[in-house]
Amino acid sequence: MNRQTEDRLRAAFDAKAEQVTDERLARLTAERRQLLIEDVDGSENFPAIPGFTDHQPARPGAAVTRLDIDHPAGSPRHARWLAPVLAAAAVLAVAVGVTAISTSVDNGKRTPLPPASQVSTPAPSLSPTPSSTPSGQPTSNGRPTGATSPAQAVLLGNGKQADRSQIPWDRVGPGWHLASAAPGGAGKVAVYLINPIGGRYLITDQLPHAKDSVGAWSPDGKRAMLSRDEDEDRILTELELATGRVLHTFAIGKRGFQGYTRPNGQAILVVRSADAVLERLGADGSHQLTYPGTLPGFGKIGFPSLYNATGAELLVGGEHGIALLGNDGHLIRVLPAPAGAKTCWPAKWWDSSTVLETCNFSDGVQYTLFLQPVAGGQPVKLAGASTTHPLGFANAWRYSEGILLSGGAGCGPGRLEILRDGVIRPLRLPAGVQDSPPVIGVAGDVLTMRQLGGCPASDKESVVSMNLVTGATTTVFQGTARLIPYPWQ
Amino acid sequence: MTQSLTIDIAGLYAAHRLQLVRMAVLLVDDIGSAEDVVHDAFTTLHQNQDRVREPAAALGYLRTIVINNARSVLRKRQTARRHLSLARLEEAAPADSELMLAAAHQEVLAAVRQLPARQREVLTLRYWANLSEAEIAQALGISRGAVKSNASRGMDKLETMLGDAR
Repeated sequence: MNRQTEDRLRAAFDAKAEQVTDERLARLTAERRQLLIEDVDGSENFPAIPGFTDHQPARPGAAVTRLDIDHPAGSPRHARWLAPVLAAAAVLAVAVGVTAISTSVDNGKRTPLPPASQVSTPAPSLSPTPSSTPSGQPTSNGRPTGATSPAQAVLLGNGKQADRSQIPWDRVGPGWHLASAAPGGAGKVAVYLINPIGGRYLITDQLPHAKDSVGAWSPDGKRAMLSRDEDEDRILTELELATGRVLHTFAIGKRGFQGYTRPNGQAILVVRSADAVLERLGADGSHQLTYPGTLPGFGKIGFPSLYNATGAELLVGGEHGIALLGNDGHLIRVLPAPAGAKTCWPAKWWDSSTVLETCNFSDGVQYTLFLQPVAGGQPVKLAGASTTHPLGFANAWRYSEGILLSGGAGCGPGRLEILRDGVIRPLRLPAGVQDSPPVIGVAGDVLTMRQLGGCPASDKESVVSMNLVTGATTTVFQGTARLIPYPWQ
Repeated sequence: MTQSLTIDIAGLYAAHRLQLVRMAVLLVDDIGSAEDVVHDAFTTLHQNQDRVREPAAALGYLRTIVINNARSVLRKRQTARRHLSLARLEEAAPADSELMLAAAHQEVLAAVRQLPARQREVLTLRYWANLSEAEIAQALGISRGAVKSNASRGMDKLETMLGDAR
């Protein structure tokens, strides 16, 4: 190519782009605000971002229904309708607090980690015939207190739907999914448990807000936390799965929801949007702890974070590697980033003593996966960027015959590959299964993935499970839904 | 613990919004449309967070949406011009902001506007955003070979239009 033309092109692009400044954008926003017509439909949600929300039309008279969790109930800042919710939350907070004191964790007490054999779980079957004894099902999870198992624990067939009273709680475990979908009708969201062969159990379809979607499944398998945005707040709603009952509804302000704590989900983690600081809240929204934003010798903490199985320790990412913290936020050790990495984060527990670490080696997308012993020592490279895989790999899952790798990408080509015997090959997907699908999870040999039908979104979505060994596929859910895999144990 | 479920949209906005608007203005010419394109992209990201594979991939996701949105803007403009029975379908002169640029830059930008949308996108991502071939392929949803051929054809046309010496 002609170097002169390239230089001229770069210079012209730079000159035009530099005309766009923050000041000019602010002036444009101010000019537009003068011209905006009030939006009479107040149901749209926009993220609460300084400057961004300035773009929205003003809605004179719109009531502010913000709950600031640092202010006591009864403050004039609260809307009247929140008073009974707060009263109920206060009663539940006392009950939860008593329960929390008597449990071993979620408050940082150390207990030995489970052996590696309990971290990886065997494959659930895709056969519609229920087995007489559940294989690999944790015995203490997924069975809510006081729930009555149906007399015949038959696995509901693909595409069939039943009431929550029919859930075979003894069989709920890896391979199951928690889902939220808007099946139709104004303002209604439905929450389901979906079994490995695509039969679904309706938890509730009485939630009043169409924007609620499942955010996390509690580690004890008993509850779901749903999330929605309302005005400038993120609203969380906790649901008891056995009964469909709403346990808590509370606002967390301008915070991102990170998930439940371990091992039982007695608390939750959130991230403050303003300064990206991690906080721990009770499952009722009460503030428990603010983690340090930076650590000496490590720098600013990044996300996601990852608890260990007991909840006593927490892994966080950052520019210099990953750090192991105590549940109370004290630094245990820094696990330095491999040379050349720009940022790293903990992707998942590989086994009880090793974490799968993802590191980005460019300012764009160039991921490499490492296995990092949590006790310290050099990380071992699992898979990374190459001429054939220039974006690298962002995540990995073990199954019986190898390791499934997910390419680093946002929306677009991000193929699934198999690492076996040191060689990386594309995963052969059956006809009709979309190339480079987002992975929801892998349980044993079964991959569950989203079929998008378009990028970034499409109304032709579905969720498909595929046995990585046999290639057998099952449509788990037809339509647009958010799915959460059963929590790892 | 479940994977992180939310992307730090506020952080992304603070860190990348200006650059994304700058990229968009190179695709759609006027700052008002560029700002709309980027604003809609953040809204789409917020509504589709669960479709982003990894939080760190959100910027690439945003970039793709910005490009898709920019393409829609240009298509709508062309449709509007056809309805208005304008004689020429190629891009009209942009807002007066370009008149503030040096004549040499105006000439280059006028030539870029004559290119097919895909070639313009590839050249913008390569010569302004400095993305690699792989990153451009991912952002546009095309193969690396298509990136190379669009870049090559686009530059050949520019050289011809600008009369640059070989």
